[in-house]
Amino acid sequence: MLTMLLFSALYLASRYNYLLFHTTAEIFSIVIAFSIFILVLNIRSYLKNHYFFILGVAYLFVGAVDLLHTLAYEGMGIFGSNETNHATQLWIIARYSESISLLIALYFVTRKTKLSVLFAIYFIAHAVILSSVFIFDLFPVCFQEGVGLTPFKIINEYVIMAILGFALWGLVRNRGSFDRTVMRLLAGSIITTILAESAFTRYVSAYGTANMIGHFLKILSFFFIYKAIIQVGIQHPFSSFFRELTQKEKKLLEYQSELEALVFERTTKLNEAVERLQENERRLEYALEATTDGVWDWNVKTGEVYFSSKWINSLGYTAEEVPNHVSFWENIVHPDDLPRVREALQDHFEGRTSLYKIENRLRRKSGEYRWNLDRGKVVEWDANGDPLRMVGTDSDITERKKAQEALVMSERLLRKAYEVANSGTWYYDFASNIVSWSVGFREILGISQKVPLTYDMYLDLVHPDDLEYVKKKWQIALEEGSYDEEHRIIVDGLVRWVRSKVEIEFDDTGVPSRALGVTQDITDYKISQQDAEVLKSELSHISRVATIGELTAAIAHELNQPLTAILNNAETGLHLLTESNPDVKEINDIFIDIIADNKRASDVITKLRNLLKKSTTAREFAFININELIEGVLAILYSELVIRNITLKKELSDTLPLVRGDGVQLQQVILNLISNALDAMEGEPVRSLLIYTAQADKSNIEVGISDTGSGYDKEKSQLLFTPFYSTKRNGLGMGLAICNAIIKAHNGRIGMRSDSSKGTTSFFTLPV
Amino acid sequence: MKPNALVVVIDDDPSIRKSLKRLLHSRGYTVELFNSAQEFLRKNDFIRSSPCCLILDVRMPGLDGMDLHRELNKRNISVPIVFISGHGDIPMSVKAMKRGAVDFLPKPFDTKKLLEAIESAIDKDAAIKKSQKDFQKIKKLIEKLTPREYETFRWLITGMLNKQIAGEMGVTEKTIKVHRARVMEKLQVDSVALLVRIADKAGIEPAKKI
Repeated sequence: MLTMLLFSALYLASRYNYLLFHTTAEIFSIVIAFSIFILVLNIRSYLKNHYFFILGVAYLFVGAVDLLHTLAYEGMGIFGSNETNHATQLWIIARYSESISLLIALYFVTRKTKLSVLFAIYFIAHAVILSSVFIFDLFPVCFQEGVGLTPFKIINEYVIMAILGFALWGLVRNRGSFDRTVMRLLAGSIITTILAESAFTRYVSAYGTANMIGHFLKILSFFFIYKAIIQVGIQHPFSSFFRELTQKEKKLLEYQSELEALVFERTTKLNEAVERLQENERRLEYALEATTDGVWDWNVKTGEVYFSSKWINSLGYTAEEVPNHVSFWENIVHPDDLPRVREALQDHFEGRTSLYKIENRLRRKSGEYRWNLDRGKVVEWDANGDPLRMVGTDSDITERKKAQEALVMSERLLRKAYEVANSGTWYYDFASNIVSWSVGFREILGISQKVPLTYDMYLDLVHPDDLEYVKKKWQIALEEGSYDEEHRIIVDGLVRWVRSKVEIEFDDTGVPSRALGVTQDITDYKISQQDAEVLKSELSHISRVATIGELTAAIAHELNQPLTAILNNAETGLHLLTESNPDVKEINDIFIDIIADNKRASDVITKLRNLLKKSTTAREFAFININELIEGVLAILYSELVIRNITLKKELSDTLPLVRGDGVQLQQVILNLISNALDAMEGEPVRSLLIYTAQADKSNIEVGISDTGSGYDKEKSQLLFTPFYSTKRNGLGMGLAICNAIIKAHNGRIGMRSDSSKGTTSFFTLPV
Repeated sequence: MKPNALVVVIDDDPSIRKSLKRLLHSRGYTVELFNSAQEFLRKNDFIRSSPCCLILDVRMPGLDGMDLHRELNKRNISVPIVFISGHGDIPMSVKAMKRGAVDFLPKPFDTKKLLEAIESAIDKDAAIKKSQKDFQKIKKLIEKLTPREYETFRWLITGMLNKQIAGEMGVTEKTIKVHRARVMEKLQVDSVALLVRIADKAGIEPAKKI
């Protein structure tokens, strides 16, 4: 209503005098502008939104520039000529200031600033721009007399409208930060300013209608701003506060719901924890139940004890039978254990032990004793530091005790076994290079328990001659996983023989991780083995001599034949020489024959000596033609065959390779087998001996002796090659056993077979 | 030494055979060599004609010396044998001597002993061969006697008088005298004593009184 009256008054004034109208209208808007500033200045402390700070300061300066504009207006005559241009320039500056401020203010909707700083910035900016108009005259011309508005002026009015458009758009975007009414007033102000500007682009004369409408709109626009700030700061000073409060409350509600969620979450977690705790408690209970046989709670001062029912039951009593007093317990502790138990309690009471723990025996109701693990702790002390209350558990460990005793016994037995076997165990850890040895093994090595051992230390003990061998064996074991070998070590300057049996363990990637070994001192065994070797050689020799002894008649015959011939020939020679005209050619032939027979006799002796020769314990292996060996034996046996009237057949392969062996020993085998064959044919109507040699397979040759004798008991064929088994009445039972040993030492095989119902073939093979 | 005396050597050892042949040749014997008993058994007629002996090895493949000796005795082939043996033992030599061996020499033997044994064997064989000849001759003479003369011969060797013989035979004394003269003529003897010797050689028993 007031506005309508005002506008009507102004309209009437314009009809009367336009200058009056303009001056009044402008002053009106200038008053509003200054009021805006004063208003903002006074209520700034309530203004949370610093958008209004910008407006406050901006409208002060806009008002100031508008005042200059009013004073410079055409017809005022204050600034001399060119009034209208100046007034227009100032108008443009005021509108720029207004529109730019409305845009910039948006920036401070969510930000803070200080009035003093703003004031300073606005002052400098306006001082600079106004000086360009009045002092330096640099500002472009906006109005020319007789022509009207310059294009510069019109273009800038459009630019200002565009800036205002942006400001409006920005305001709408930030509508969340403003009260609805304030928002409408601010938007209204910007829109009326835009409309006013569009009116100012049109006028030709400063006194035109468009100009007048423009000023009306301008007053309206300023008024809207003023109204908005009044609304914000005075009329609804708390609506924005409440607004903020509501927003805070909303936030608070959000926080609250967040808090509630948090509380819920925490509660859930807490419940879970409680559940877990309960679960743990239950578990502990179960564990106690499972591992202990009862709980007790002892008032040390009064001697009163709570015994759990499980404790009571575990000893075979009922609750009624057990008085709640420590004397009951003292009564059932094994008398032998009581002093120890008391001592342990005392130690705990006097703080020497943090936990009372003892293994003692408790008497059951049945009278038998059980082993018990008693554990407890004082949980309350009096002021003097004396125990008040003690809580503990009891567990039946009878079974464990038994197992422990059994383990100790088994360990002792094992220890004894190692002692008897002169053995020790050890294991080697590859990562640390440490060897862990059993006591037995340290005794073998003569190394004290205290010294930690490494593999290299062991190697130092190995006999220098065996070192390479041991290292090589170890390398092979790393690939193959195990070894079993014998070597010498030197302990305290004495050579000792050990046998090591080792197994290597590998991890998932196939890298050796551990070696487990048993090492045995076999020195005594080695010595006796060497003795046995000598004895075996002796025995073998004796057996050979015995076999040959049986053949003495034949051997004598074999020697007598050439000797007889020699004697005959020599006598004849002598006789011929007594003749007056001796036949020299005949005598020459005689000598040739004598030499031949002599050689024949000496051959027999050589072969015999070879057979009777004592072989050394070390095997003398040489390359041997097996057929020659057989012929050598047959040379001695020939007469025996004749004597026994035995037909001899030889099937000796002449394409056999040489074999490695001990000639004497192999001849002994051949001799023995033939001798057995001859014995087998004793008293048989058909007596025929076959000796053959052949290639058994790619890598073995075979020598066989077949007779037409009585054959052998096939059921006892297994026994034939064992010592002291004989089918002969006066047999020692060593012959075939020795043959077996000899052929085995040659890596061959010896055996017997019966090809037909009559007779036996004994054979042996030798590797090529 | 007997001329043409033959020594047969049977031995499976060629050295022995050869050396023995050489030795015996040098002593003037004829020598025949055999390497087995079987071979000798197949061919042995030649030993009848002249004095001879066998040198026989005891141990030989197949038929041995002892077997051959037994076989010869079985076949009634009489020849003196000297055994030689490479490994002879006493029981074997005793057995051989019992069966009529001349000697048993273990190898190696003394040549002189062998030669002596051979000589004595050949002498023995010569004597045997001579007596065999005499016996054959007497047998032929006796075969010429008539049965009556043969009976008279048997009575004559009893040493009885003609008159007694006539009485025993139931004829006259004169008839006996004629028979006696005929027997003496046919048997080419001139005394009863010689008649007795012939009868002895021929193995004729004197007649006996009934």
